[in-house]
Amino acid sequence: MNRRDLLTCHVTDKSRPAASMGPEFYTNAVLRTHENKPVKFYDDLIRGKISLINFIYTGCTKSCPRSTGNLVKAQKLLGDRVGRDVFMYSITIKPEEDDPEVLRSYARSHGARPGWLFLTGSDYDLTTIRFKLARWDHPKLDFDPDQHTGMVRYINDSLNLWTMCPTYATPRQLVECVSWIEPTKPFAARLRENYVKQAEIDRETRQAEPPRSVFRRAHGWPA
Amino acid sequence: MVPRRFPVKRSTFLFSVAMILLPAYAAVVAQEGQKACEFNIVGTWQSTSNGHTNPTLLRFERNGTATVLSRKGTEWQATDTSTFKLDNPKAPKAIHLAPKNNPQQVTSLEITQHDDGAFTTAVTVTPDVELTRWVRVDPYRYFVVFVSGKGTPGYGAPAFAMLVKTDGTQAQTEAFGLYPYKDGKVDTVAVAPIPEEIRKQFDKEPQDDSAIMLRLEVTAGPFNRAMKILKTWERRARENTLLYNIPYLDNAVYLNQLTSSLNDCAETIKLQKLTWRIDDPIISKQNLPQVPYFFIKELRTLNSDLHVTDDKFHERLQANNLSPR
Repeated sequence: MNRRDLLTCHVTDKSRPAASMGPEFYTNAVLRTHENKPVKFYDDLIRGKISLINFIYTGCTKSCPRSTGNLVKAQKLLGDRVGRDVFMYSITIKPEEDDPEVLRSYARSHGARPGWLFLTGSDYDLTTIRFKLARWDHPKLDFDPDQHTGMVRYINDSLNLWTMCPTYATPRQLVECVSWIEPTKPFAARLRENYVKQAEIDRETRQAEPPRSVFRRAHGWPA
Repeated sequence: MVPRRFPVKRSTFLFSVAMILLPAYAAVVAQEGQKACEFNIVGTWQSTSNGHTNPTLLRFERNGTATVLSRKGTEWQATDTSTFKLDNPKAPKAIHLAPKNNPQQVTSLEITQHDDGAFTTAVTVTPDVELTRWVRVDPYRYFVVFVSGKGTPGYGAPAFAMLVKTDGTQAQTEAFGLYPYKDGKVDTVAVAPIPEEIRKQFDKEPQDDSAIMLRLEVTAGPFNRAMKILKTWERRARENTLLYNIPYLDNAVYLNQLTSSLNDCAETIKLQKLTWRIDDPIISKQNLPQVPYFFIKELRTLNSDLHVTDDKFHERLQANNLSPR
């Protein structure tokens, strides 16, 4: 044991990041993936990871297909980060209909790639997780399957940072939201990114503006 | 001779098709709207036909044996045994019975209706159809009790459901809901199993409007569904997985779920559901801590004829339930 661990071991549980709310909050409910593998919700899916979680049911024809379609595009944009440091989970709210087999064909039909798990489990556990991560605080909406939030919950467990993004956002926005829960970058890096972003905005603004001559002619001024 | 053709207008044709398909569609929608209630034939049943209750009982066992029981003095004795088979155990349309000593002689009865506590069989006795109603005989009696104090709009009062099961000699009571307590010097509330001393305050019907009670006697089906809801919430309280951060909201949702469960398979009570919409007469007008009080008060008004008074309750608690209800 090193000196740092010796000094801190009595205040933090080494098995999880110090900032995390841990299994006491997230629960360690055993869920099943669309590959029919049992997983513990906190230990296997959340601990120390950046997770994108949304709620679906395969029979949903209103918002879910578009939401899943957007997430498929976002997964492509995230590239090899998915499965490495970013993990995607779609949790069913109708476990009585969505067994691993049904979820597997749903994942396949939408073109979900590795790193994205579709999960089912007991009604008790799934309700608990849904109410912890994405409830409206309004029973009328919370218990209506058609009203489940069309939002993606972003969790960075290492820093205990949470955010949310509508699943109807553009895939690019869905990807951008990941940066909101990432560790703050050094000042120099942020400055550099800021320059690049500003240059991008300037370029777009210039393209959107009409040429000066067109503007002057429109107002009857000499070119 | 060429047969004469009767042209049918397209609109008439489409209307006819719609009229044919509509009942089928309505049936599907109705089925989807109602929760699946699986029939369970295991248990003891007493038959009633033409308004007369037969003095014999029929007991169906899990292993496929049906036994006819007749009363000898104060005891019930087996007089005949058969094997039975349901065409679809969860939603049967027919039951096939064969005597154990003559398995080839199979008698089939059509099941025309079934619910939690009864089923009806039909036998065609030319030219009539004889209907026999079979009512479940249960040695236990079941009570669901809703109680709530009025309290104040900001703080409320104890509000919970009690489930009582008795065999005539011993009553088992489970109570879960919300109760106030003092955490040091701070007044607070908990959603948890109700402590004995608070439960005893509500053993008798309240005499004024400072509290309200609705006590119902139900059959095993609704009781078990209510118990399932109670046990789920008890687990949530134990595992710290209550759904909301507001105890009053958790309790209102729990009581609403429990009352709704009574009517899942058949109408047990006249129901007032909390819809949580802006036009909900209780949610829109009352403060959350007092919602259970007004909710139970409304249920009591709707079901005043089903309410079991203190006298009847104590009488029934001690009565062995050998007769079917």
